[in-house]
Amino acid sequence: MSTIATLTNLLHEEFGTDPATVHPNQSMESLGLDSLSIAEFVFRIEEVLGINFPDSNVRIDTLQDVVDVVDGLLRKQARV
Amino acid sequence: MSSTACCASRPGSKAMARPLRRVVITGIGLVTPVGDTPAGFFENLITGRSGVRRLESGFADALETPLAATVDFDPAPYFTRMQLAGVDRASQFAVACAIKAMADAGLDAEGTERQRFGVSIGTGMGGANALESAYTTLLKEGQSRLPPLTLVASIHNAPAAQISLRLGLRGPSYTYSVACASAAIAIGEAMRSIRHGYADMMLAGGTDALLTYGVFKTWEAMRTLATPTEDGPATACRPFSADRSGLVLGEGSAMFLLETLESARARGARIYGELSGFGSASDASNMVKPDADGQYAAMRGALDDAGLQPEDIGYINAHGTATRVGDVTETKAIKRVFGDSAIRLPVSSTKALHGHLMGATGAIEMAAAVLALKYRTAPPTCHLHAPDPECDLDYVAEGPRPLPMLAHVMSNSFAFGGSNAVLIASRVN
Repeated sequence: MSTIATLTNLLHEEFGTDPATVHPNQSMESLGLDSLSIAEFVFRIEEVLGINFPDSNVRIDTLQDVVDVVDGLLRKQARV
Repeated sequence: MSSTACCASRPGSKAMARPLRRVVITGIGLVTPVGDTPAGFFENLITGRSGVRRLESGFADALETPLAATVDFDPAPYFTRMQLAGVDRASQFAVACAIKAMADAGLDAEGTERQRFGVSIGTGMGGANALESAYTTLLKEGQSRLPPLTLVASIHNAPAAQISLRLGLRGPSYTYSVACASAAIAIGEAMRSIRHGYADMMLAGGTDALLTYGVFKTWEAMRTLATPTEDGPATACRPFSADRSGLVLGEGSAMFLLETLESARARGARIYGELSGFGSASDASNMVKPDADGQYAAMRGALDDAGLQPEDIGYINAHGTATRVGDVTETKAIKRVFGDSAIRLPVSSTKALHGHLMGATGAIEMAAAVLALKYRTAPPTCHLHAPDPECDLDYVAEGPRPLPMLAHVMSNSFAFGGSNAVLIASRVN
């Protein structure tokens, strides 16, 4: 499954977001997420995909930003 | 909003820089096992519809008596799924009740002076669900990480904070955790905040959602929980009855919108009653066994605070938990305060129907008392057919009692730890 599909599914499971309304370039805010719900969302992604987001300030404005971080982490994981 | 006028002089009070202001209740918000509107809640108290049922949780089979007064709560009208992140059930109840109390008072937060509008909440254990879930994850499932919002979900001040931020209230934010007296103290102190001019409006009440496995087991260990009768779970809690077997745990919340009499009148608000008296005193004797002296002192304190005589009180909503020692001690304390007239004073425990809401119980029972004032009717003590011989007051066992002249009501809250709090509400003419 593509990363965007995985994240769309998680958004639906966690927050009831309708998958049909989710687009990669929309802001997290327009998805209805604030800093707190983003933190919960990231925690779920880490749980499901077995990855750890870096503690450094990752800028997450859009869903695509999350996809990029996740893909980067998955690539790094595949190399080791 | 002006902070002048309405000066009530109280005998014995020291000279104050500011005049004391009279505080009234203009809104009630409820999430309870027996109704979620003031009228519906009181109707159920009057008709004896019990909220006590068999607990349906997954751990119910591991309990000796899986009984509880549960709330069928849907957060959807009050929260989006995103907003629910890190908001424990107790905070969900509290926010819902705050919104309901505002609507009941005919207030829109944006139209109020929010710098002068505060929140005062009583809760026994705050976000206990989040904490129990965390312990389960760590200790039972052997995981090493917790959801990031576990801390903010579980802290005791979360319900008050969630209300403040939802409604944009920038005044004082107080959280009182005094076991079963929490909400009564939160309401009393909120009243004082307005009375003394530290705030103009307060949302005050209590919330608890403690029907977790761990909490049930702590109560089970205390041997204080009721066992069901042959009639089933609904009648398990039988305050003052010879065959009572203990208390039933409940969950829920109740909030009051408090403001000055002056502001309520200026905006033409419907006034349920004046919050006229608050008394608080400690037993200083035993963590578990209540003491009539401490309860007496709290009731006397509330009467003095309201400037009333015992015979002015027309109804008491008792703490009445249906434990052996609790009901007898409260009966003794009432007799000491009210003397020869105690026998004619209607006293009832509505816990028979809504159970013991722990930190929230003082709020839901104050709501029962205030609505008794509004409807001029004492709700009955249900499931009481043969009283304990040591419980010899008028417990309104036969059914609701019309009290056309009812002018002042009292609500008692007595906590483990020997902390006692008593509130009085009075009719405003």
